[in-house]
Amino acid sequence: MKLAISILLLTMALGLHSQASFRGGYKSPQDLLLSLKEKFNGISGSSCDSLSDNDRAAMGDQNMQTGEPFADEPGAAFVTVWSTCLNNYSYNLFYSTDTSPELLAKRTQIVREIMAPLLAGVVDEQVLKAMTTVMVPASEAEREAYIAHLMRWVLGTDEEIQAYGRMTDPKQYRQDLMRHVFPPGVSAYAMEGTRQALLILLKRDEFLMYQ
Amino acid sequence: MKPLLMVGWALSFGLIFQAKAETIGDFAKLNRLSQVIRGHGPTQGERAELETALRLGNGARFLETKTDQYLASDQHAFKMRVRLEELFRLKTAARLLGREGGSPSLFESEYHEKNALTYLFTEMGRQNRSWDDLLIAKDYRLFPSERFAVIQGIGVNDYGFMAALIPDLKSLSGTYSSELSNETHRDVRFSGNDPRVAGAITTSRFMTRFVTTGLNKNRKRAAEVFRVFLCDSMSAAIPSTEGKDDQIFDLMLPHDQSMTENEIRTMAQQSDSLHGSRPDCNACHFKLDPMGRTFLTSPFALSAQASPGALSFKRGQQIVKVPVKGIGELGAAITQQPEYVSCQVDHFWSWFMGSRHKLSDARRAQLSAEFDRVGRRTNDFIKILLKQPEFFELGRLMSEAEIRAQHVKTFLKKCQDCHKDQYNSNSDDGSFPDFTKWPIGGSADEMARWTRKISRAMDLAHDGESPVMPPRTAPWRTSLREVNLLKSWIADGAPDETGRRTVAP
Repeated sequence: MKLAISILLLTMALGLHSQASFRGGYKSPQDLLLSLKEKFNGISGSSCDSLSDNDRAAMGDQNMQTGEPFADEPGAAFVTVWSTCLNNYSYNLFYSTDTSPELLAKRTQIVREIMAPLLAGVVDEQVLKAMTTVMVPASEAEREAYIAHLMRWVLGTDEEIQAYGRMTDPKQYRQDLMRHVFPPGVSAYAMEGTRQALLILLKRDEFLMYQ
Repeated sequence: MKPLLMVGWALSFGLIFQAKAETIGDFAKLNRLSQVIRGHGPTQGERAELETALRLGNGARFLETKTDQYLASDQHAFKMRVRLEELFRLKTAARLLGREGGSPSLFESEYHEKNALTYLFTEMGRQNRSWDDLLIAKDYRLFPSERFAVIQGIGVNDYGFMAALIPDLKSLSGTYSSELSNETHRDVRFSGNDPRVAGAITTSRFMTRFVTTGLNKNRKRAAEVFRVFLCDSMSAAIPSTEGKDDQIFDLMLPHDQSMTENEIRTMAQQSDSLHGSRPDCNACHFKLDPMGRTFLTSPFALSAQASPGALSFKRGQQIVKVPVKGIGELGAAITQQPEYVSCQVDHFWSWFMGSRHKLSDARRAQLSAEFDRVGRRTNDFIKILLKQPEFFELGRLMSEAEIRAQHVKTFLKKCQDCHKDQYNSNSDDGSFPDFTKWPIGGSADEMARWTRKISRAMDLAHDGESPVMPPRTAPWRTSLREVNLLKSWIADGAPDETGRRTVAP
């Protein structure tokens, strides 16, 4: 239950506006997309590289007639669009078949950042191959350290996370997330669990809000 | 001088950090600065740099340097552009930071990227321009925007828009020409006292967004200027209690298919007469019409002839009227009004502080003075705001009472927008109380009286079945959700943000 609550925390909150969009401090549609592009080092997010007219309302853009956002807060339509974006980025990061040198270099750099604890000692040329074969750490302590690393990569330090006032116990959250994506006693490749963890963390309010 | 300012900035950061126990830590501060100024969090490298700075005892200085860097970034310039597009109710950017990737679905994307207004919006943050330039700038970067002109077949790009003012643009007439293919843009500058041009409001994008017709006579443009620069929403307040709704409707929509042209003309004259004689209509029109006249000669493209008009509005119970020779003087006149300054401070506060902290009258006055002190320069004023103690306060979830009160106030604001300029025969000064300041009317008795009045006007007893308010002529309707919200709020004693009842249930 706790996990279900903590996976997707879309709550109305008082926060910095920064600009319009959804009420309560959620990022503007442009900043949401920019945040992803920034996080993934500029690799393509396919349809999420620009703000399409079809997605404006779901992403919280304003109604030009009234100046009000189309929706007060992120709802089902937002989650649908956002999930598509996250899937696009994660697919292009982990599964792309594009062999252009520029993209390979970007993917290598970003995968190394994300999976750093598991890829220590792997040379750059081997990173994209190694990511598909590296296993989930056997010890719980190592798994937890890896989850902590992923959280820090997506959301920042515990101090940054807690400043949003939404997560009071990051340690407990890590435990919940770890059990969900790396179930105890199951030996598996790390890549898919890592991808799942990213998809969950990138839907957190701490990523979607200015503050 | 500069080192002194730097020390002051660093000290103020340090003082703020130490003064409030509930403020956030240094990593969270860096994150907040980055998110609000650039739109995304800090990089891993920046976090590592902060770690080093903190070890060396340079945390405050590091944050100060980062603030300057962020404010000088393209992301900040882009964010200010999007903020201004939202403020002006324009279509916001589709492409991210001008990246060519993706597939913007409309040809408009190119036009929206390359036009004088978008350029000016972006320059506000990039060049730290004076905020007044939105109303008084005389320099423009014009773009030919060939594709837009071709598709529309009309001269609405920047070149066509300015052609009457710039002789050698005349031959281009705003439509696509292969002769233009090598010219990507042109920088033009008019004299400082040119009455024909006024920053953002004399641009093609503004004029085509807020079009004029024979019926609205530039009032739409004037209303937008009032809304953006003087925070006057200019909503019409036309009570429906006099049984004249149909005539007002006919005035607004005089195109019943069953009517002959003569009938339409006759009815329009009657409606005009009715409209012009109603005090509630005049509450807006004494402001809109004189300002609308400054746009008179520029229905579509900018005219070489300035059109005189006036800035006219109410300050308390006094009428302020400033005659002007043209739009250029109008823009300058607006920037000289205290209402303009406090309105712009409100915009900045909303952008950088949000709804967590209400801006008190005293703080608004203090920040208005700061706005003037820094020459109303965009980034300089943002830095002032980032030094306010509220900026680094710990985030928190809203209580149920706060959420409810905020929703009710959002609804009542719509009522307030219409009624604020109406004459209230029941009050000493003839004005309506602010519905969003509780207790409404300043006392529990008045609050009770107003909630009863609201309840009756919205017919809450019958779930809003036959409401008097909003009137049929209003541009919005009450949803069932809003009816239920108001009904339960009043039934519970109209509780404020703390959950305290303001009237007996």
